[in-house]
Amino acid sequence: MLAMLIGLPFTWIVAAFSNVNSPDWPSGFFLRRQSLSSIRSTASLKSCTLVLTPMSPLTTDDIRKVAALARLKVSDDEIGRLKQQLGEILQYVHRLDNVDTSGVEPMAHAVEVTNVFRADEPRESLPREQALANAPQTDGRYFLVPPILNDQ
Amino acid sequence: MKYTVVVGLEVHVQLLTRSKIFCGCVNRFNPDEPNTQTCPVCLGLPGSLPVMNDEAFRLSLITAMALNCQIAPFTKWDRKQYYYPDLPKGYQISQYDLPFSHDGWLEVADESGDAGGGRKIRINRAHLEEDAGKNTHDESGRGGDSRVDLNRTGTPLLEIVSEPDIRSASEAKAYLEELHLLLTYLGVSDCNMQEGSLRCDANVNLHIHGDGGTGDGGSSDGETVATPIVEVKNLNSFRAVETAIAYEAERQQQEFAQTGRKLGDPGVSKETRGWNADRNITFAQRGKEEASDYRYFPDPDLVPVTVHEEQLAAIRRELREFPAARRSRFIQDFELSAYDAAVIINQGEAFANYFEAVAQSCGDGKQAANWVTQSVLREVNERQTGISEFPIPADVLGPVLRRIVGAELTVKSGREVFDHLLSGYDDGIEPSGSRIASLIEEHGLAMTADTGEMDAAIDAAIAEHDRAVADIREGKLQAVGPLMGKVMRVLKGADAQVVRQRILDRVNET
Ligand SMILES: [Zn+2]
Repeated sequence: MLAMLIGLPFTWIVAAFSNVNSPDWPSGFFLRRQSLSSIRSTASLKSCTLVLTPMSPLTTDDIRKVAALARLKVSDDEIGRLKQQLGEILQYVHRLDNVDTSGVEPMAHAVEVTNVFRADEPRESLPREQALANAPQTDGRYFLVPPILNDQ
Repeated sequence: MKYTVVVGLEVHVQLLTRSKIFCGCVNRFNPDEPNTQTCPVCLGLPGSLPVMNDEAFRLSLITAMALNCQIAPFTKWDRKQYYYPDLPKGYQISQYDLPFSHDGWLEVADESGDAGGGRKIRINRAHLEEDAGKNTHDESGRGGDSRVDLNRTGTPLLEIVSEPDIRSASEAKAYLEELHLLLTYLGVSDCNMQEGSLRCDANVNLHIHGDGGTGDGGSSDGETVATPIVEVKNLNSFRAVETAIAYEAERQQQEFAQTGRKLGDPGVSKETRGWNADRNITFAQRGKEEASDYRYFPDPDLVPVTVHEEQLAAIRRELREFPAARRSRFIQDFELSAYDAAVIINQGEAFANYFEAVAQSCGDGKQAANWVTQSVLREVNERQTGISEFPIPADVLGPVLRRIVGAELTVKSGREVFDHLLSGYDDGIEPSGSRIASLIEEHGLAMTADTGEMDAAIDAAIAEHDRAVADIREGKLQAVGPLMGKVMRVLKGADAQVVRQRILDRVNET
């Protein structure tokens, strides 16, 4: 299960921790939410800031919260291990704090390419058997999942 | 307790593209063949990459323009993370802080129905995202597995968010109807609510006005207080929108009277409620606060999009007339009532085109509106066809009405021609201009301009009805009836009023 988190692209993991509602959290590592009006006034990325806040240790509740958001069940043992390993990852990321970005324009993407489009032309889809092939459970027509409460 | 209902609507509309937003799977409603319209991209398989459908973005721009929105020169897509079985990637590709459009408005006809007296409902933003799949739950109560169909996953979805400018349940319905009309007019969506192409959530609360200390609710210092905001999910018909908001207003009023809970009180957060269309009630859904931590961040798989003025100008040149503009033009150019104009426009673009062609052909907009909104609409509905399959095309109805306008045919005779054209069509005779002429000839419907012919018929009738003539001379004008019947049988196309007056004149002359 740790592998599930660690195996994700680097950005995913950080994102998973970026907006969690805890005062000590390294929040807003990514583009932080700005009021819409400020974005509209410039209508460009210039109004988005990269915010890094001082590092503080992860807590058990932090791990539980992130696990709950990912619908992962974690044991107490695992929480201890995850806390340490994810803490180390975050610490590594926080080395970026040392970079002086004062004169750097924020960017929305790592490559400076825009407007990549595809023509609206349908292509063949996968046969159903192939679409369902990796599912833990199917009835031959649908993916089957544990019951979801009907109130969502 | 005096209060104002405050409503903002979030509308999700599926775009009419041929393929999905990020992959080549066909974009088609197909619940009967689940999981047959998927591929590695929309299944969220590792290593697959999304590529933006240019038509989805173009339709989005068209819609934003029609909603009078500002188009952002730079826009990007973000990942909205949540874990749900109908979302195989574990995140939805959506737009967060830089939506492609914002700050527009939609004019909604005033509740009085007055032309031009509409209210502008501001649009906060419209952004482009992907739809999720569809879960079906076990309804047996035995806790069986839920079934997931991913055919819908990746359907281009436009989210249109209004400002909380709507002030009543009926205005919310009117807003949604206007939006529905606009989107179908533009051809950006089929807006089929049964199939989920158009879906609506409503944010509802009340502004309770101070009672100045009279003690019947509200704040005592004359100020206005707001009740906590409730989001009512999945309002998927016009009726549901209207009844759910009316219900919610009533419920919030009662709740406020009991608890006094206000927006902004400690521990008061936005509540999510569902709508039960069978029982006509909203119901509390399990707390979503825990789950609504979406941790947005820019999607590294999709590059941003920049929009240039030339591109917008090109789209603008191709835009069709918006329904609201056309409605105003009909009122202006054809002297229609706001009501008639709305009836015609609300039938859709093809119907409005039909009306316009008939009105131009006969030269009398009001006459055309009367026919189109009554006889034609009734027949179209009875025959359960669209106007484009209606047997009498505009270039046949136009000449019929032109004869009425030109006093060659009475309205009554015109209806007779109309009915003969339809019944003839049902017998295999195609309605046409020459068919009109032969029907008028065959049934003697031409309006008699020849007074000699009319007088001869009247004199013959007078000669046969001594008794009636005597009665008329004594002032019993209703006795003219049998005489009229006789004359009208001879002169079928004659104007009854003219004939009546002429009979009275002749009786009194002789
Ligand atoms: Zn696909």
